[in-house]
Amino acid sequence: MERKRDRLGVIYDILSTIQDHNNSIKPTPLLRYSNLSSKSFADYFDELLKKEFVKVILDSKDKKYITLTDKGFKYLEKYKMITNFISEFEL
Amino acid sequence: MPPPMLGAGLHLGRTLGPTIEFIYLAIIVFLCLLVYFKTKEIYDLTSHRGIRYFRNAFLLFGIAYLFRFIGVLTHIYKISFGLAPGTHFILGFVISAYASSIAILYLAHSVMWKRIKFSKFNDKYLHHFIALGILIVSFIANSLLIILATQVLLFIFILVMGLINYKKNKKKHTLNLYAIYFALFLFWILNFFTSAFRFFFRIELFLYVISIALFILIAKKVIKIINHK
Repeated sequence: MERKRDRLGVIYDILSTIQDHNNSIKPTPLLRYSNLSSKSFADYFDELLKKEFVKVILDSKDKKYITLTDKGFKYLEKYKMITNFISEFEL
Repeated sequence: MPPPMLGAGLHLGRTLGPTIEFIYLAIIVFLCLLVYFKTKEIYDLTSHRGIRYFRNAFLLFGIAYLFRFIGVLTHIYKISFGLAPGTHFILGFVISAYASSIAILYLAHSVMWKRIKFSKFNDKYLHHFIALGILIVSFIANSLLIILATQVLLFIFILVMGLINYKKNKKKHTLNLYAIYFALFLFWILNFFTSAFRFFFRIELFLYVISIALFILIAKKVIKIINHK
């Protein structure tokens, strides 16, 4: 059985999904890929927007797309180190 | 009857001298701040509570050492600012004890926050309330030993948490980490004695060197992980 994801792991999965889709994905497929309930996804998404890990852009037809910011890329880059730090110091 | 004096029993007469005290302080404060600032980025990225408690612990250890030094320095140079002789030493010592109590509480909280959840209010203020409570009780009882005793209890608590964590995950690094914490608190307590009482005065320099070595170990571990590509 897969281990329950912690908050940082969920954030990593959401950001990775966006990155894997050429840094542009619509909200609905992102919700589907995230394996979260709508409510949980909305909470996480609000947090990601607030922390400026992602931004919402509108295309010419006014359709919403989600992309990563530099901070979002930085999180992905540092994730492994962060989890290692948390594990090493039992945090 | 004279008012109770918190510093009663304090050893006010001898220190290792300003140069050694200053070098010791500068190194410890530098290492504490290094840990604090090196972990800033990962905290900004994650807002992880464990990381926050860990960083705060080292910031407060730095503050505790700084005030201890201020107390010693004002005593050595007989700086009074119009206050009674020895007041600064005691004030520095009291603030140092307060900051170190919070630092130890933060460190304890960093390893147990997943098991014991606090409300937002408690999370923000509880450490300060406990540390203040310890100080007030010490003042009323006119004994700095109460501060020391509570710090020892906290330190035992961290070790018990460490053993529980080790039993759970059987990881070698868990054991190494708590061995460092164990040594850190052991020397913190011995340092407390050398600063406050006549016991162990001759081994103070040795304690300083070991304390520095322990802070270097922790800072090195932090830097190694943070800088790892």
